[in-house]
Amino acid sequence: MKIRNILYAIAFMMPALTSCVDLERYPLEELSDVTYWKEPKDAEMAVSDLYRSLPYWDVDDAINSDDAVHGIKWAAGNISIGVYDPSDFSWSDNYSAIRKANTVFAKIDNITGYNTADKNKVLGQAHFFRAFQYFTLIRQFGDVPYTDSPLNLSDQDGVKRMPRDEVYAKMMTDFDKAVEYLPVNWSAAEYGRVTKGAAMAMKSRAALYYNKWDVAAEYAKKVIDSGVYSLYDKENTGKYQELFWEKADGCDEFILVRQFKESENSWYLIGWEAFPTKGWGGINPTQSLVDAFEDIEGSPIAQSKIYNEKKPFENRDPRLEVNVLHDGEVMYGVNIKVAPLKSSGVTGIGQHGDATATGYYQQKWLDPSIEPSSKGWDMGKDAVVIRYAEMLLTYAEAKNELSPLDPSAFDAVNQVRKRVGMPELQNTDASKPTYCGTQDALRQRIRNEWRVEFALEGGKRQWDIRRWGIAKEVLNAPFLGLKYKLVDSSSAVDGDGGKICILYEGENIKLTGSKYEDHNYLYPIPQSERDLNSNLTQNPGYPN
Amino acid sequence: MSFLNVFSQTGKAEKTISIQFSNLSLQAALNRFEQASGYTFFYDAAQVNLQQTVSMDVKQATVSKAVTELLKSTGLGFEIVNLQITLFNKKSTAAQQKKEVRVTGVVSDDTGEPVIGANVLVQGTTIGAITDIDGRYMLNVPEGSTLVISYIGYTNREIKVNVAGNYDIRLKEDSEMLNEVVVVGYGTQKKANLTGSVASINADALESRAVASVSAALAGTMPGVTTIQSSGAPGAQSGSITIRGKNSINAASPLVIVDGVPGSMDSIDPNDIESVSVLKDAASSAIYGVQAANGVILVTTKKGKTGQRARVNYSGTVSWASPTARLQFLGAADYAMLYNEAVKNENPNDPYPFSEEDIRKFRDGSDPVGHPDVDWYNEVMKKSALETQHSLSVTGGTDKTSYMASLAYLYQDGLSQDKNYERYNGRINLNSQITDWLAWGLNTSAYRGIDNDGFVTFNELMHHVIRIPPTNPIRDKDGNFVHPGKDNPVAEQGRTGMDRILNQQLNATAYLTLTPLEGLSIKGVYSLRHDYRDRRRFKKDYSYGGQSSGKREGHHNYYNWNWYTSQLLVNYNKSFGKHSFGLLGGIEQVEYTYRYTETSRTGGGNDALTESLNTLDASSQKNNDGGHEIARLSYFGRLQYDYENKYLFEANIRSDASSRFPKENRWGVFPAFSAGWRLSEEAFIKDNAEWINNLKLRLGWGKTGNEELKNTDIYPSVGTYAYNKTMFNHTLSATTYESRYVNPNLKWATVTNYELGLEAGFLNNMLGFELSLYKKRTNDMLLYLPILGVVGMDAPAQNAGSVENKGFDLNIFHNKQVNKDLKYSVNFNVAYVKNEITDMNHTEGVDPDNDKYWRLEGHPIGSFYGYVANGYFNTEDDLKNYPKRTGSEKLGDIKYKDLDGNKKIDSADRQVIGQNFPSWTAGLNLAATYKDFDFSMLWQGAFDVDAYYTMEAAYSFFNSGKVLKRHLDRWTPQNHNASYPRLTLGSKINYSTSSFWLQDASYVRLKNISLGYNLPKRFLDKIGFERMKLYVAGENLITFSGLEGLDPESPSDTRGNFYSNVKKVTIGLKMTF
Repeated sequence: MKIRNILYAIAFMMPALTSCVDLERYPLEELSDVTYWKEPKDAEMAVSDLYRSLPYWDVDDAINSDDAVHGIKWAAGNISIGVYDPSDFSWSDNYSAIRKANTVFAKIDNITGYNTADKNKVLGQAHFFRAFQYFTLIRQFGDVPYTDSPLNLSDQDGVKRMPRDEVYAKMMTDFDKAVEYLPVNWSAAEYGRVTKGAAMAMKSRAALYYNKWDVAAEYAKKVIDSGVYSLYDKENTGKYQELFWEKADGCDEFILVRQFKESENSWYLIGWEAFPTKGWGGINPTQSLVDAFEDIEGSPIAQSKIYNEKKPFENRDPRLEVNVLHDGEVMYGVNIKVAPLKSSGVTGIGQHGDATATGYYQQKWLDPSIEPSSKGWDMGKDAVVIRYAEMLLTYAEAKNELSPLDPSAFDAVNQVRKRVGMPELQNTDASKPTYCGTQDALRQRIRNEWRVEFALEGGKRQWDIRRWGIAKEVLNAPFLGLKYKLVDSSSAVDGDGGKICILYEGENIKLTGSKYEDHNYLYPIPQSERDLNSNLTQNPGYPN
Repeated sequence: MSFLNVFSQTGKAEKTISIQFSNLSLQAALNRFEQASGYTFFYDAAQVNLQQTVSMDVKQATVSKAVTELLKSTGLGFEIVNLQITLFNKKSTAAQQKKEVRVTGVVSDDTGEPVIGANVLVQGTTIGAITDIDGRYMLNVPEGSTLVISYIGYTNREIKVNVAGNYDIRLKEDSEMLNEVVVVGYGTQKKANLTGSVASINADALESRAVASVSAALAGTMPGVTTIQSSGAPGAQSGSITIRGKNSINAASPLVIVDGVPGSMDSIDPNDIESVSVLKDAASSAIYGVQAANGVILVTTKKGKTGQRARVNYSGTVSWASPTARLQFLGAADYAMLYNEAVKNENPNDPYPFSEEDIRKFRDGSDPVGHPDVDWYNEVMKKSALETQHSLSVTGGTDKTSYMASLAYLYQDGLSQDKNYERYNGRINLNSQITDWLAWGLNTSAYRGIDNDGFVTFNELMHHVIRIPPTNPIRDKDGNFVHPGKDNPVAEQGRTGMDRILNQQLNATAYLTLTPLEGLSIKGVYSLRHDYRDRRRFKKDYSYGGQSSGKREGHHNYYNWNWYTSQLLVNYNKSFGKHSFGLLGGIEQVEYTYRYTETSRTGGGNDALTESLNTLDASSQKNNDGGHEIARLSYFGRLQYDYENKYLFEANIRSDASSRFPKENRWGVFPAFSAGWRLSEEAFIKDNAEWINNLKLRLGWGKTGNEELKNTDIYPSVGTYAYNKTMFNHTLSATTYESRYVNPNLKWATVTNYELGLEAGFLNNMLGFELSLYKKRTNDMLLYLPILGVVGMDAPAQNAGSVENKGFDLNIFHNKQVNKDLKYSVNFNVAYVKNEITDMNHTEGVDPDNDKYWRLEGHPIGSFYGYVANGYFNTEDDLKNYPKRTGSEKLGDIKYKDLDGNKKIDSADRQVIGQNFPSWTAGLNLAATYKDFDFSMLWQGAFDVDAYYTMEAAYSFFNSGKVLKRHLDRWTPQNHNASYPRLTLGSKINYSTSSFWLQDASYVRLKNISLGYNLPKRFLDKIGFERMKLYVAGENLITFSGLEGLDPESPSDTRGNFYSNVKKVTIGLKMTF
C-alpha cells in the first residue's frame, strides 16, 4: 500500500515539477529594441514624433511682455516682473526633443535598403528640430550643454555648458542641412511637415535674434522669393481678422504650423482666453499695447491730430479692433461692459474672479464660429509657428540695418501695412505722419510694426524686447490699464451704490512692482540640473 | 474500584458519531477518532501497541459503542470521562502489585472554587477518580506514583505521591495563548512555538464591529500595525496598512494572502473571517520572499468541521453614519464683513464691495434672493447616512466532508444624494477526506461591489461646496438655479449623470492533499482569481443658470486582472524522542495578467440613455486598450526543530524569480533564521516560580525583498518605443518615441531585519506581555533617482539609498474571571517606530509628487519641509527690522525665523517641520462579560504626526471661495494675538510652506464601543436557537484631537475636498440555530 501511495504522490507531483511559467515577458503596448529600427517606416514614425515638440501654447506668453497681464488677479507674468528663481525653470522638454532627433541620427543606419531620397527627408526634419530646440535653448539660457548623440546615464558627469556662439554655429549647420535635405513642398497627405521654406524661415529668425543681419536678410529674401508663401488677404478685402480663425488653416501665409482638429487633437486657447464666463479671461491687453496702434492716417497717437482719448477706438489702425475687446463691443452675444460696477455683470472689473485686470479683454483668436464655453476647450485651429509676415518684417528690419532706408526695406514693411489698409511708410514726403527720414525712424516704425502685427502672439514680443535690449525699460514701467472714474449720480442703476462710471477719464488702473534687471535677459540655469552636476555654472545675477 | 463513578457520570446524553476506515495504525486511528468525535484519548504508551492495525465502520453509534468497535481486536479496555477516553491494557492492570497508599484532596480553580468532575489519574495506569460536587477525590494508589489532575480548560497538574495523605490541588486555567494555533506562511503553528513575530486576531475581535472591511477592523488591535482610515465614503471605509514603518520612499502595501493564495482584504465579508495573522518580521515573512518586505497579512476564512451538525448563523446590522468632522464656514454677513476687510488689505484705495446695508440684509435674511445666507454644506450633505449589513452562513460537516457557505449583502448610503454603495458576497469552502490518504478541498468566493456616484463625483461636489461663498443664492427669484460663476452644488445634485464603478471578483482554489506516509503530506493547489472592473460614466446635459454644462459624455472602461497560482507543498513532521522536526518544501508559480479597454464618446446623446454610448456622436469616439503581464517562479523551504518544546529553531529560505527584472539579476534569495527559548519549560522556573506560566525569548534575522516599481515599469529591463500621435494634413498619424531608458543593473531592494522578542505570562496567564524590538534596514531601494534633463528621458529606477526603521511593539494583557458571572480583559498595545532615510545617494530634496514633502537623510519619509513661522509683523518697526522673504510683506503677515542669520528669509531658512506618519501608535481594548451581557471598548491613538492644511481648508477666500470660522480670529491692528494672518483675497504672500499651516494631528479616539445582550439559554431552547445576541455599537464616537474642522486621520496634505471619515451608531443582531 505504501508503495502505491508513493507512486500516486510522484504522479501527482510530476505536473507541478515539470510545468514552468515563462519568465520572459515583453510589453504588449509598445515596440521594443528587438523589433524596432528595422524598416524605413520606423524612422519616419520616430521623426514624426518630433512634431509634438512644436510650440502651441506660447500665445499665452504675452504676459511675459508689456503687451498683457493675466486676468484672474494674477497680474503680470513672473517673467516680466523679474520675480523668479532657478528652481522655476526646466529644459527637460527641449532635451527630450533633442534626444529624439539624436536617436534618429544614431539608429537610422540600422535600417538596410533605405533609399537616399527618403532617408534624407527624415534626416532633414531631424536636423530642423535639433536646430530649433538649440535655438530655443540658447535664446533662454545662453550657454547650454550640447550633445549630438543620445546620452547614457554614465555620460551625465561629463555634461557642461558650451559657449553660446559655438552652439549657434552648430545650430546653423543643422539648419543648412535641413534646408538642403527638405523638399519645397510635401504631398498633400504630408501637409504640415517641415519644408525647405520653413527651415530657411527659422534660420532667418535665429540669425535675426543675434543681429546677424546679412544671414537674416538673405534667408528671409529666399523665403520671399520662393513664391510659395504670400500674405493672407493681401488685397485688403477686410478679412485680416480671419487670419486668426480656424477658417484660415492651410492658407499660404503659414510657413509652419502645429496642427489641431476638434475632438481628435485639440487645444483650449479660446476657452482659456475668452472673457468670463465664456472663458477664463486669461489674457488682458495693457494700455501700452492699445496705445501702440497708430491712428488710421499712420500717425502714432501721441502725435495724432485725429485721436480722441475719450473715444480711443475711433480712427485707429484696424488691427486694434482685431486684437482688443473693449467696453461696448458685443462678442459671443455678450455685451462687454467693463465698469467696476455690479450692473456690468461678470465682465466688469472686479465683478468676477476671472474678470479683466486692465479693462480690456483679448480678442485675437476669438473665432466667432467656435462656441467658447464648450468648443473653446476643444478647438481645432492650427497653432502658427511661423507666418509669412514675419519674413517681410525680418527682411525690412535686417535690410534697414545693413543699408539704412533701403527701398526694399520700405517695400517689405509696407506689404504688411497695406494688407490692413494702413498708409505706407516713406521717406519722400515729410509732411505726412508716415515719414521716416532716418534709419532710426524707420527702425522704430518697424519695431512698432512687429508689435502691432504680432500683438498677443505671445511667442514674439517677449523675445523682441530682449533682442532690442529694451526689456528692462518697458517692463519696469508701470503696467497700466484703462482710465476710469466713479462718480455719484442719481441715474445710477440699482445695486451700483449710487455710482456711475465714466471710462477713459480719470486715472489709469496701475500695476507696479516689476524688478526687471540686466541679468533677467537670460533665464537662470535650472536648479534641478545644477543640483545634479556641479559643472553647470549659473548665469550671472542669479543665486549661485 | 472507583471507575464505577465514571460510568454513572457519562451515562447521560452521549453524542453519536459515524466513522469508517480500514487498516490504519492504531495511532492514526486514534487521531482520526479524536478529530471526528472531539474526544481525546489518554493512554500509557508503554502499555499500548500503537502500531497494530485496526479497522472500523460504525454509523450513528454512541461514542462508547464506537470505541468498543475500535478496540475490539486490540485487547484494550477503556473508560470515558467527560471528553477524555482512557485506554488501558486489560491484562496488565491486575499486575500492579506495589504497596498502595490512600490519598485524598480537594481540586479547586484559581479563584478557589471547587472543580467538579476533574479527572485524577495515576500516571501510566488506568487508576483514577473523578472529583465530586465539593471538588473532593479519594484514591488508593501505588506508592511513589505520580498523580495527573486534568480538567477541560485547565492545564494538567502533576504531583508525586510518596505517602498517604491529603493533597489539595489548585488548577490553573489553561491559557488560550499557549495552545492557540496561528496561521503562518504556508501552514499553521502553535503560538507557543513561534520564533517569529506574528500578530493575529480571530473572529471574536470582529464580533461587534460594524465595519465593512477587514483592514478597518485591524485598527488599534495589533502593535506595529498602523492602520489609517482616511475616508468614510461608502465602499471605501477601509484603511491603509503599514507594518512597522515605511520601508521605502515608494511606499507599498503589505502582501495579502487569503486562504493561501494572493487575495485582497477589502473584498471579503468580515463575517467570513476566521482569523487574520500579520507576519511582522523577516523570520515569519521571508517564506514570501520578494513580496514580503512590507509585511504579510494572512486572512483565513471560516471552515466547517466534520461530524458537526449544520449550524445557521445570521448577523445583521443597521448603522447611521455621519461625518466625524467638517470644515466650519462662516455665514454671509461675516463673509461680507471679512471680504470688505480683505479688499482693503489688498488695496486701501479700493471701495468696500459690501455696504453696511448689504451686511445687515445678509444678517437679518430680509432679502433671501438678493442677500442670501446659504449654508452650502447643509444644503448638500445629509445629516447621516444609513448603512445595513446582512450575512447568512451555514457551517457543518458529515463524517468525511465539512462545509461553510455564506451569503452577505451590504448597503451603504452616502452623505450626498448620488453616492451609495452595495456589495454582495458569497463563499463556499468545502473539504473532504476521500480516503485515509487522500483529501480534496475547494475554496470559492465571489464578490460584487457597486459604487454609485454622480458624474460630478462626491469629491468634486465637496470641492464645489467648500468653494462657493454663502452670499451666492441657490436659486433666483423665479426659482431657477443660479450659476454665479462658480459651480452650484445644489444644482448639480442628482442631475449631472453618473459615475458607477462595478467591481467583481471570482476566486476558486482547489487542492488535493496526499498523505502517503505517516507525517508526510503533499498538497497541490491551483487557484484562479479573476477581478473585473466596469466603470461607466455618463455626463448629462445639466445646464443651469445660463451656464452650459457642455456636451454629453459617455465613458465605458473595462478592466480585467487574473492571477493564476499553482503551488506544490510538501510537509514532513517527525519526532524522535525529545526532538521534533518539521520540514516544508514548496514550489509556487504565479502568473498575473492585466487587460483594459477604455472607450468614450462626446456629443449628441440623450439623458435617458445613460448606459450606452451608441446614441452619442460616433465621430468623437475614442478607445484604448492594453495591459501587461507578470510571472513569478519561486522555490521555498522551511525547517523547524524543537527540543522538548524548549529550544526552538526555524530556518526559512525562498528563492524568487520575477519577469520584471533583467535576466541576469532575476533570481533573489531570501533567507531567515530564528530561534526561541521557552524558559518557562525549564525546570528552574517550573519548579521554583510557579507564577510564571510562560516565558519565551526569541531572536531572529532575515532578509526579504522589495520590487515596488511603478506600474509603468512592468518591463523595466526592456527598451521600448511607445506610440503617440501627431497630425499631418489634419489627419492623425502614428508616431513612436523611445519610452524607457533601460537600467540593465536593476535588481530587488533588500530589507534586512533583526528581531529580539520576549513573551511572558504570569499568574495563570492572567497577566502578561509580548515585547519585540526590531531594526530593519532597506538597501538598494528602487529609486527613480533624478537624472539630468539633458539626458532627455524620464529617470529609470535605480538601486540606491537606504531606509532604516527601529522600534518596538509591546502588548500587555490582563484578564480575570472575577466570579462565575463576571469576567473582564484588558489589552493594551503600544508601538514606536523611528523611520529614517539613511542614504539618498546625493539626491536629497523635494518629493517630486508633492513639494511639501522632502526626502532628507536623517529624517523620516514624509517629512514636511518649510519655513518656521514666528508670529506676525505687528509693528512698523518689525516690518523695518525683521528679515523678510519677499520684501512686499505688510503688517499682519507671517514672520519666519531667520535660521541662518543672514538677515534674509531665503531657501536656507527652511527645515524639517513635521512628519506625516505617526511615530507612536497605541490601542486599548477593554472587554467584560457579566452574566448575559458583554461590553467592549477599543481606544486607539496615534502620536507625533502632523497634517498640513492648505487651500480651501486653510486660506481665506481661496480661489474666490469662502472663509472659515478660524478667519474671524485674524490679525488686525488691534488683534496681534491672532490665529490667522491679515486677511487677503488673492495675495499668496503667506502661503509658502511653513510651520504656520502645519497642525499636530495626534489623536486618541474611541474606535469602537459595544454593549451586547445574549438571550438566556432557557429561552433559546424553547425556540430552538443556539444563540441570539442583540447589541448596540459605535464606531469613532469620541475623538480627542487638536484639529479644527478635519478628522485627524484625513489625508495629511489636504484642501478638504474628500469624503470625511464617519462615526457610526449601530444596532445589530446575531443568531445561530
